Amino acid sequence: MSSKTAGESKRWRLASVTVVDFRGVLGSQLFEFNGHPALIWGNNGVGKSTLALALEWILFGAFPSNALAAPKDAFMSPVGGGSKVCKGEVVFVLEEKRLIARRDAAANTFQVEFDDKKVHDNQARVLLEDQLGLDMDTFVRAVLLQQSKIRGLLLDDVKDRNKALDRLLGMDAAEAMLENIKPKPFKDAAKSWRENIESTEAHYQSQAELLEKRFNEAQQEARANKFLGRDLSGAGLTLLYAGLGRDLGKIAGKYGADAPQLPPADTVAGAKKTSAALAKALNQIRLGAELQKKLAPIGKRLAALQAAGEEWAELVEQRDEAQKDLDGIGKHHGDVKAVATRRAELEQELTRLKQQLRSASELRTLLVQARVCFEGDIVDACPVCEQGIAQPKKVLRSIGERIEGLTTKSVREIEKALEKARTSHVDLCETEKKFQTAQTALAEAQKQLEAGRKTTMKLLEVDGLIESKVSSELTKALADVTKQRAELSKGVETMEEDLEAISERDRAVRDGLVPFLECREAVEGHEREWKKAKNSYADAEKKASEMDDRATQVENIKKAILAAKDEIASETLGKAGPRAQKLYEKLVQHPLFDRLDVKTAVKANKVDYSFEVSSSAVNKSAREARLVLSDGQLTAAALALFYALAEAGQHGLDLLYIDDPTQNLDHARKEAMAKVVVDLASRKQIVVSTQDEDFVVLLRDAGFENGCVVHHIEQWDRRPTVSTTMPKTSQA
Amino acid sequence: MHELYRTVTLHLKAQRDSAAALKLWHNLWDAYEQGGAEGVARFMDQIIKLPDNDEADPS
Repeated sequence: MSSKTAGESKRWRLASVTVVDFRGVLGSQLFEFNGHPALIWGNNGVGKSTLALALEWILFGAFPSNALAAPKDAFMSPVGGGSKVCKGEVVFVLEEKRLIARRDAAANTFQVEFDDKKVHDNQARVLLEDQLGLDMDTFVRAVLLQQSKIRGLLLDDVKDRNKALDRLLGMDAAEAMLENIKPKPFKDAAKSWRENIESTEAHYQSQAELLEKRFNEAQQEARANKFLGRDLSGAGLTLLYAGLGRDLGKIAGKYGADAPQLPPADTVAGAKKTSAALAKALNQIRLGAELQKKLAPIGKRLAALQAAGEEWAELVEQRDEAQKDLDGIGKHHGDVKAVATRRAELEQELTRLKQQLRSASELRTLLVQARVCFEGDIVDACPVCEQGIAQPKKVLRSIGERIEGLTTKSVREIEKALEKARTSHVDLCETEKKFQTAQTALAEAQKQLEAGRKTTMKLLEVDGLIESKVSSELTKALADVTKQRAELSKGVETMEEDLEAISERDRAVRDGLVPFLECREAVEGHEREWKKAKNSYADAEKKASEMDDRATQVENIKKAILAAKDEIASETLGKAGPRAQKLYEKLVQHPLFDRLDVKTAVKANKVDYSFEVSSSAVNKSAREARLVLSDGQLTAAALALFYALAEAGQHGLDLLYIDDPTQNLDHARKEAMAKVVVDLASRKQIVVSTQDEDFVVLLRDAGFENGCVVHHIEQWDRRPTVSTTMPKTSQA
Repeated sequence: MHELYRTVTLHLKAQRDSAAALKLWHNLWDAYEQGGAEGVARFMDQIIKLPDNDEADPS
């Protein structure tokens, strides 16, 4: 194999990679290559892939894995190392020139040193990409070859296989574009704008019809209210209310009220305010009119006279009742003097009767004593006159008879007469009291009547009004005032008629003309809005056209992308095809299907791929590779394409970094792979990492180690134990 | 310059009246470079003008 050194290459080769506190590496670790091919081998998990990750991270600040789109502290920093301290350096050589890329996560810096100049960040990125002639996409596709990238070719789903080929051919961007660039949403948007125009127009049309109907109805109503053509305008409205204001002023003057000022009704809204002000003014005239001022005291006087009349009538009635009561007593018991005379006579009679009763009692006592005298001793002579008594028994009997007479007849009669006289006396006393009470009531009623008379005189403003004239004077005064009020009321009625006439004119304007003008304003407003909407249609149509244009542009871009994708993929496959065919023959060594053919197939909206194998000895033997090859053969076929594409890449880096190329391969394929690697290494700087000791032996047998650096990572305890062997030619 | 960008640009330039399509393509490419496929989708959403969501064209 060739032992081409950095000095012999026309492109950049890898000289060294240094990582510090990166992933599993604690501290600093240098991997030297000096532009030579290299073998990195060791068991699983000793950090072989970490070196590939470090290379990409240092150069591009990202990782090849899609799952790690951005560097993550937890992913990058080693356990026990400081957070975000990881950094690294990659050195490329080209003859005597050196290109150094440095990245420091802690300082968040990227530096490229070239030709004694150091540039940073974006400038550094531009310089690096300029010198290497590739960006990250090309790097991971054409330099950093990881077998995981070809696994998609083994999948069943055609979409997944196409996706894998897209990745291999660098068509990711084209696919991302094709998936997201669609003309339909723009066409839909254009349609939506036009539908919007139609629906807006339909809305305005229906509104216009409705408003026209209302306008006609309002016009009929206005005509019904006798409004003429000249009235049916804002100016007409103003004139009508001005006329109403003038007439209102006249009426106010006529009835002695203050002339109200109405606001000008120069708009419909103003007319509503004017109408409200007019209603208020009408009330002010009602309240402030002279008639009302006069009517109020008349009403008050009328009420006072009515009250006085009623009160007088009541007083007279009370007095007459009292008189009637007194007269009734007199009629029943006679004159009050006669009653008094009779009472005096009865009192004399009572005195007399009492005297008689006393005399009769004394006589009876005397007779009783006489009888006792006669009954005890025989009396022959009178004890008084001492004359002889001829018949004492007869005397005794006579005394007895007299006693009996006095007891049974005289005394009783006297007592009966006395009782009768007493009763009559009591009755007469009672009658006298009635007289007294009735006389008092009469006097009081008369007194009140007198007071009423005086009050009435004061009310009627007259002197010397006798009682009998009070009622008639009151009636007369009441009639006068009632007449006055009637006259004033008639005036008020006339005023109300005048005011109502004004009010009616206002109502006619408010309910007949204003709605018409409102309708007209609404129609005019609608027409203005409609016109504005129509003006906006042009804008909407412009937007619809823009969307149509966008759809066309997107369609054209889509076609251009499809054409470009087909062109680029075909060209890439065309360039890589012969080499892929040779590698296929060497790696797969199929007894029948000895040809590999990968082509593009342009369809309406996409570019598909065919990954076919065929026999050069048999016509029409082409078959889809996944249908006739085993997984190992298919892997080898995919690697053949993979390597061929990488070799065909046009960039300034003479490096292929092949990570773990023997997965799925049997011994024969591994042996073929070793030969292919050695062959590749004769033209390029190949860096192979593997855990496959058989493959290491096969590489050695093929002579790979003769001209390459060997990094054997033996142990791993956060500090890799690396046994490095430089190429014999280099050592020599 | 990305080969796809360059090739698509050439294809578009070969078309008639392609100035607007070219401008749109440049913007789409910028969107892709800044946000990948999602960036393109976002950009497409932004340039669609609907009557109820008429926003300024970012392009």
